[in-house]
Amino acid sequence: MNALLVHADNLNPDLIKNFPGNEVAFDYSQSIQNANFVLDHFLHERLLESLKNEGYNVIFIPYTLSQQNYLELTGLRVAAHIRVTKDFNHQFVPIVFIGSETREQIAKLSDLGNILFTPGIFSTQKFDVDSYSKQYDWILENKPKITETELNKCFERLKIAPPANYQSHHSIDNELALLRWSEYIGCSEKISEVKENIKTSLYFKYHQALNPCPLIQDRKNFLLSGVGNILLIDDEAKKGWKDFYKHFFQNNINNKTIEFDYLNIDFKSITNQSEIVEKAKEKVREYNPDVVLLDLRLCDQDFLENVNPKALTGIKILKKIKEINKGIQVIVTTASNKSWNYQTALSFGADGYLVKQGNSDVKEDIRNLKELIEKSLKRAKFLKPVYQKISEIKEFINENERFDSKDDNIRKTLYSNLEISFELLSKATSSDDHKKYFNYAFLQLFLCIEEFLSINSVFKYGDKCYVDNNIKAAEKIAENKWKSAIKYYREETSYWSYEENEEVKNIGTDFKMSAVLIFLFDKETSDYGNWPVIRDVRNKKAAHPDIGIIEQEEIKQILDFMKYIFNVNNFKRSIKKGLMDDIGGDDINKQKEKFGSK
Amino acid sequence: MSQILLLDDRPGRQEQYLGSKMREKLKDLKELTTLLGEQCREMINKLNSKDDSNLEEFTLIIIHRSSLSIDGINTVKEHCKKKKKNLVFFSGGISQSLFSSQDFQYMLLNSKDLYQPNLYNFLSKYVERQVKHITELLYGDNWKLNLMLNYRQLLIKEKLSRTEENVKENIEKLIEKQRLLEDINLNKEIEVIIAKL
Repeated sequence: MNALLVHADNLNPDLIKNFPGNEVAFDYSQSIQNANFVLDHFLHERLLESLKNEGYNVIFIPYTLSQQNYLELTGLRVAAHIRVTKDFNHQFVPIVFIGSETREQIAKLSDLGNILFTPGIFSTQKFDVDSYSKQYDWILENKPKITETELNKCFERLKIAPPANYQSHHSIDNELALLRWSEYIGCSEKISEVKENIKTSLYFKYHQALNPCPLIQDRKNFLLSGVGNILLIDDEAKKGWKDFYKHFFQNNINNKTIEFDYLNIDFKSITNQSEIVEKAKEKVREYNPDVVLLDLRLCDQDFLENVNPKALTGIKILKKIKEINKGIQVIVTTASNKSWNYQTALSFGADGYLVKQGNSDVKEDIRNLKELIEKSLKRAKFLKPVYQKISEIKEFINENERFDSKDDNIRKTLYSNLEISFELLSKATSSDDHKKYFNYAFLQLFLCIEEFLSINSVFKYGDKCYVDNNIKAAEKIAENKWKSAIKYYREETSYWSYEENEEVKNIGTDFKMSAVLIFLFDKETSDYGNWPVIRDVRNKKAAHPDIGIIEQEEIKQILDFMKYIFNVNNFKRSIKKGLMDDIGGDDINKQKEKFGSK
Repeated sequence: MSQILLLDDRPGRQEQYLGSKMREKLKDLKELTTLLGEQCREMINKLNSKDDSNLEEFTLIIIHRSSLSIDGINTVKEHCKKKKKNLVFFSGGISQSLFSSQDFQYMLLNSKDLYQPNLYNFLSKYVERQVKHITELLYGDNWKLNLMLNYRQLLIKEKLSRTEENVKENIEKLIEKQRLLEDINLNKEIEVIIAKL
């Protein structure tokens, strides 16, 4: 008969010897002591070897394949492997279990017992060859194969639990995504351990039988563009993700411009969450990444049921990264599709979200990943130095006594304006449709300059205007008529220069800033630090996004200018005297008379 | 009193599976040396460098297999083989718990099968030398059923190797031999036990 008897030398030797088909021994009692023994791997390899090139009509298996631990009931596991593994070519073949027990008894003793009540499964309590021959004939006559529908029913009825270290279905999706993505970009040989586990583990095979994945037909090398450092923070990094990303970022034909590193700590041995957060923070400070790929679940407590998303280790790390530099782009990677985790991550400043699923369209996944990384690198190149400048400006404001005020209101206003500016810039870089936010951000930054000029000790506005409390920059002589200590030069780029007894029509922001540059910072003209350009951009472009969009370079210019003027160390007492005091009194009255002012 | 060693480099796992009450109870077992997380690092490093001197005092050794290198695993295994000690390796990645009594009593357990409600009872009985068979850790009260099923398998096989003869003798020592030899009684006993499950 064309049948196979799988055993472990745990049946009567005569029965094995006289079995009227082929027989194969799966004895793993010695092997289990091997350092890296994995039962599923052992069974998969043996079954592949025994079945792949054969076409048995019936397979006989004793309930157990252990000589010393009957309750292992490994025969059930072997049958489950046969049902869920296409590669063995025996998915539809009837299986007969051998044992003294009834099927009902075995079902009570094993989680895999359900398989006994699926189509194409038979049993015998006999231990003689004649009985097996009769049963073989009966099966061939009555139920030679199970159907596709019956096989699917079998999958539904089988209840195979994941091993304990797959703490949720997310871990499973995570591993499946890793394999499929790696196969797609052609680096699956670098994740051989994961690959082997997925290909041979009963649970993964069962999972894939229930959730068939679209076939990966074409493979493609992506030309990733961009420059920068990318950091991976993932407890599964060493299980293959670091190899996948390294290949994805650095193995492209023309790209050696992306540096990649990962947080290399033993996540599993760290007792408390705060230690992981601290180590991640240290790594971010040290590596100074442009983009961080951040997993949300990094320690055991993150896998507890009903865990508050805010308490996830990844969210805590996200907060720390954003404290270091809000411009670092954080892409949250997760196998969870829980929207509240996504919402929480977004509310703490995550810039992107990468969902790893076991049965998604790989081509689409990789295209999304490529776009996300390229966009994030580009954004970081702008936003990171911008945030750095904003932080330095804040520090200068903090140290500068001229910003002292009741309840510290000036500082608070400036800090708030700076934060808003950054948010606007972040929005401006998030999509081409949001570019007008560059203009709004510029205006918000310009407000900071105006706030600075409203400080009396910087520029005191009144009928007599003073810089630094004692240098008179202008004095009102009539309505729309001021005597001025600086003169306006209308050239390609207009500017102001020190020149006494000039006349101006009004004291606007340009006048104030120019006077401050000339007297408080002791500059020859107001053409310093790109001020005339900043002023013109403010007036001609920023306020009119329909006419023109502010360039990133222009944002950097205004920030550099602010860095200069808010830094107390740049103040320099001028030898320029400003308007002489004797302009006042009668002289002023004469002037007023002349210009008809009341 | 028997000394037990439990090494787990993943400290959160006990809390996850056992809860704080059970963990407190385990701490009260004086003969149980539990080293978790960083605490076990030094001992793991020693084992990985093939130094088994720290294992001497223990008769039952329970270690997270993945925390050890291949050298470490072999060192522990050889130590237990030589000294005929009981060894339990556990890991979250093990899909099915296994047992072998060749050379020494060895169990390969899924973490869930180790960290279960029966653990405390088993360990406290082990300390008092009240455990009759190491599989009590895995099967609790059903350890006897397992032996009976093994015994029946051996009876059906008839032609036994020397090792199998030894296994059979050991089972006979643990379960009343007279009853086991009466085949009908054995079958009946198995049937009754399973029916009660």
